[in-house]
Amino acid sequence: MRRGVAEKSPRRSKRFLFHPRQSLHTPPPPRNVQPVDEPKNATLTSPGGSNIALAAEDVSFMTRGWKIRLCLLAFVAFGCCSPSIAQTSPPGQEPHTLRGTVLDSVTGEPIYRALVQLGGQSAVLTDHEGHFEFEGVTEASSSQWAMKPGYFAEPGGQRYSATDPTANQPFIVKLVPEAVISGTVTGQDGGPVEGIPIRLKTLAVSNGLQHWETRQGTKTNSEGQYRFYELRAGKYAIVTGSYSEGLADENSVAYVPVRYPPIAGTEAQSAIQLAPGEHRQVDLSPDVQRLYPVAGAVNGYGESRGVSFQVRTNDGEEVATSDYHFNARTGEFRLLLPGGSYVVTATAYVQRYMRESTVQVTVPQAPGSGVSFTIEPGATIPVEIQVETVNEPSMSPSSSIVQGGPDGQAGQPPTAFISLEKTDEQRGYTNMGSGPSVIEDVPPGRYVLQVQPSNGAYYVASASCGGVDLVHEELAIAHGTGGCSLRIVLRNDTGSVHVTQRGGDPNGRSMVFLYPLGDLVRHSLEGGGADFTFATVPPGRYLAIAQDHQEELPYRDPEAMRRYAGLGQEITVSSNSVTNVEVSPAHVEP
Amino acid sequence: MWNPKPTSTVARLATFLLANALALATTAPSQQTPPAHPAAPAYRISGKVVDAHSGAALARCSVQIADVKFRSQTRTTLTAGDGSFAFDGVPLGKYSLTAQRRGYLEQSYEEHEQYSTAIAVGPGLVSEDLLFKIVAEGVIAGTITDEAGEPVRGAQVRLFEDQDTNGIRTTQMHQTETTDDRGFYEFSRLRPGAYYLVATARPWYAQRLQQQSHFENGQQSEAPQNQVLDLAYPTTFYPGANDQDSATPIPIKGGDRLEANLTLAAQPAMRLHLAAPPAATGHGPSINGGGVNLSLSQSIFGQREMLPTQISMNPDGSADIEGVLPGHYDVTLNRFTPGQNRPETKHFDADVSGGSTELSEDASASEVVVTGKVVALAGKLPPNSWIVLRRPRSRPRQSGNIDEAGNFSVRVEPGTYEVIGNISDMYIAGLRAQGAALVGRMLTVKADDAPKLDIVAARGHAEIEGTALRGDKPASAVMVLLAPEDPKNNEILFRRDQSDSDGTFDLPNVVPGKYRLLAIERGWDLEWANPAVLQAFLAKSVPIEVRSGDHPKQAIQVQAR
Repeated sequence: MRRGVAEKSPRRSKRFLFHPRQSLHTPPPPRNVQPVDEPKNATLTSPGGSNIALAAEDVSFMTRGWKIRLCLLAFVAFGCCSPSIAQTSPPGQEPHTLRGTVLDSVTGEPIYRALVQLGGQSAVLTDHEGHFEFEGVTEASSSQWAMKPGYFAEPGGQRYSATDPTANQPFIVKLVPEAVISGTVTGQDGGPVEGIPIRLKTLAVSNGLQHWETRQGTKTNSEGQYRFYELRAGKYAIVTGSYSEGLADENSVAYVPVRYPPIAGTEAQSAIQLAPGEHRQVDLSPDVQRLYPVAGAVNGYGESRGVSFQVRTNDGEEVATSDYHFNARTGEFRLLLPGGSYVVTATAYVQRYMRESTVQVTVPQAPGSGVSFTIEPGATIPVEIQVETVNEPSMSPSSSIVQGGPDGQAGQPPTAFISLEKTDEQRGYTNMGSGPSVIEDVPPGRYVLQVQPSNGAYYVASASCGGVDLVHEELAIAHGTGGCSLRIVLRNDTGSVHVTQRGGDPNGRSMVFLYPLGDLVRHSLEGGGADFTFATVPPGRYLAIAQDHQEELPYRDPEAMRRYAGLGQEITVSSNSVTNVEVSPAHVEP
Repeated sequence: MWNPKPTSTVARLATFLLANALALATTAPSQQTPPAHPAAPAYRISGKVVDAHSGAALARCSVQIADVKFRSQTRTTLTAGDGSFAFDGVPLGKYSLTAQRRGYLEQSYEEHEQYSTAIAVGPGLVSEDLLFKIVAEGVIAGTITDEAGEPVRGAQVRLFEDQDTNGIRTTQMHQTETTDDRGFYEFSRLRPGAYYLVATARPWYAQRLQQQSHFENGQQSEAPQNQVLDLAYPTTFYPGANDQDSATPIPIKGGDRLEANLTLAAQPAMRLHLAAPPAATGHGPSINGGGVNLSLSQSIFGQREMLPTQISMNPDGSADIEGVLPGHYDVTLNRFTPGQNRPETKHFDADVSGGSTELSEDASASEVVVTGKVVALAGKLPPNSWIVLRRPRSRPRQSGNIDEAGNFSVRVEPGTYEVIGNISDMYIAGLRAQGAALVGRMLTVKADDAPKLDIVAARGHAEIEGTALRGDKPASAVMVLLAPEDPKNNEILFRRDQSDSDGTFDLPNVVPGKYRLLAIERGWDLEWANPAVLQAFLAKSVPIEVRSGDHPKQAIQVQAR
């Protein structure tokens, strides 16, 4: 799937196939994908927050009285009830009984009081052995789902298919237990620290790059304890926040943010790897430091009335800096920092641009005064877009090959949404421009180019800036440089990829991903179904994988992608030609 | 001394820093310090910090003094092993004294509500050997389980507190917490007092079966949905009652850590159906028009508390509220119209007794619009001024901005309200009402009333300073109260302070008029705003009348309870 403009600002990939309720706020389903017999999915969030995928077939309704009777039965008998289903559906089969068991996917133990739903019609709670039973089922095939707080649905979910209604085969539904991270935060004296902020970070992939993002925040309770639950298997880290103890004064002390595990060589080494159902205890004892004054001056903040200061540890964790003084007349500032080494960034809005200056500060070894920030304007980057329409644009936007982006129309020359994404810090998009324009005030740093043509039939054939090939290289902007001219060529001679899924459950919900290999500007494409076509695919090499989950792989990291190579098929897509590929569903570690 | 101290440490820190930041932004750093007296004599503030409950000395306790005139001028120290602290070389003046320690509430010396006693230093004044009693935090924690003994996640647990605030004893909402995956909740940093615990939740399995979504005309619409396992938990009060009269208070002393568990038992639930308004059939706003929200509330200890429900908007413009148990509810419908900041609000009284209950918008009680005009006695009204209508002893209040011409409008539900002017440096000197009953400051608004208020605003608050005396000796830490004539209908005119260590008090912002001045020993848990309670103390009060801009000094003898 090509990512829409609206998805850019929150740096999270959208999964609208699994979140139709959210899709109101996101672009419509994949444009360049033709789903074949794609089941409709919905996500139901229980009060406990477990996300359960539900699929629904033809639906019939019951009277309210019946429903209340059902719930009481289920309630009193703890799920042993076998209510007959109202026969409002087309009777395709003789009425039969559907029995089954709900199991914990990790321990294999039965799950008591799981809610089991049959189609969209009825639901029961399981008994102590995890058993459930529906009598008088007439549908030949129906979806069946179970949920329980503390459990997630298995990827792909379950579907019951009664090919032989007399067989009365017991049916197994597995639920994946949540993982938990909890722990205690203690002070230097070993006593619990109450009220210290704790953040849970997770290693997520967006735009093909792995990065750490904050998932949840909490505070320790009166016994110094914190707890994160409803966690899926994955890579996590725990970070304590800034916290000062004692009354505000230079005599007070501050807890310096600590990350567990500490940042190590690879992203994976810097993570707590949680398996389903795992409970990990992470106790933390952050370093306590006195607060020291750091003073100096800021230059170049222009008419800006305020300069804000951001302080990070060398692990990139933020240290609270609400306690700063800045004199807008003289540029003098004063901060209180706990002992340690920090990256301090002064930020000002000059004209309408956010400009910043970063200095490494170590306290108390370095002199506490005379720290100087110089805020400078960034580079100015003119953008020129050349459109090469090789193929006749399709005149029918409603044809099976959907063209046109969110604001583009088939047959019109496309514009493009362009942004430079900073890579050397875990920060959002720094600057954006739309169409042929100028990207102004780009601060020094390393960037990758992101281009979103308004017409989905077009792709980036080449892009360069000052002799740097941005299809394959990052753009480095040094201090005090004037910037380069960005030149982008868009073409519409895409190829197409016809995918056939072989093996596995024909009703399974494997998603097929096409991961671009070898450049920085193409995006991954995703689609579902046993047999379908990616209609507009930029030429180049791809890895096609049928995944058992929806998580995008870090395709911009060749090192990380090496271990997935064997799970899919590598293909080369050429202009105006169809590439056929056969893939088998694979279990892919996110 | 009145404490301009926000309740949380963080907020307090922010204020402290903001004050400094502002000082720096406007003046050079050297001008920030108060005028120095090179040869001025210096004094000493010293004492000992102990646990208020056990009397045990508290070591490593952070103690701070701040000049009450320059609050950003602070000095901090840590108590020694025997709990003692001392500040030497303190210039003549008055200082607030504050302590903080892990496991304790941050508090000022002799703190009561938002008042405390400042330490005055100077010739002949006692500022040493202070006994600073601080209260350890209380904790109430526990687990909410369901009828099968399984933890209830995401339950809303509310803690109400019996409070003596502003001279009235009321049960007020203190805090809300949400249970975690173990059904666990915790309320910490509690002051000593009596607390009520209330849990509300929806059974997790009382789910709406989600159906296929349709894409129609490019828009997503949801097919009708099935409700299964239609059960609800009643609002449950500790120790397990379903009505508030059977709720048992949980007494907390300093340092207590109490466990309070509750079990929720599901009952068959009803559905409230709210019919579509007539406009829904045309192009007017229907209930599901997008700009609408619905909520179900219940009165808990006199406060309107929102309940967890599942609300569905139907394609025909009507709405259903699922999971409702028999009882009395308030249904609030807010309808947002484009271009209007505030929604149109309607309230429905819903008596749910059985089966499905139908509500119609015709039966709703609309809000009454109170309009009026404020005239300044002299000069102009400052910008950003408001008229506030407040229900006595109730937190929600409605306010209306006063425009340049002095006009305002406030929308309220029918009821009795106190009329309050939020006008910088000005007070309400005259108040008249047409179309509604007004006694003193109390305005009673009935449905279909169209009340109009005429308000005269004046400048020149008075200030009363003085000393509380026990015989001829200054009395420290007593409650000083300025009570208006006709206290019942003029609650807003009460003024209070707590005497400092030299017996002095200060009552600023007094609206000109006739008052009684009182000093009461241990008067903090007294329901002084109740005229019947106040009556007993008036005999030993001093009558005092102040005019605009007056600044009289008045000594007052302390009376015992």
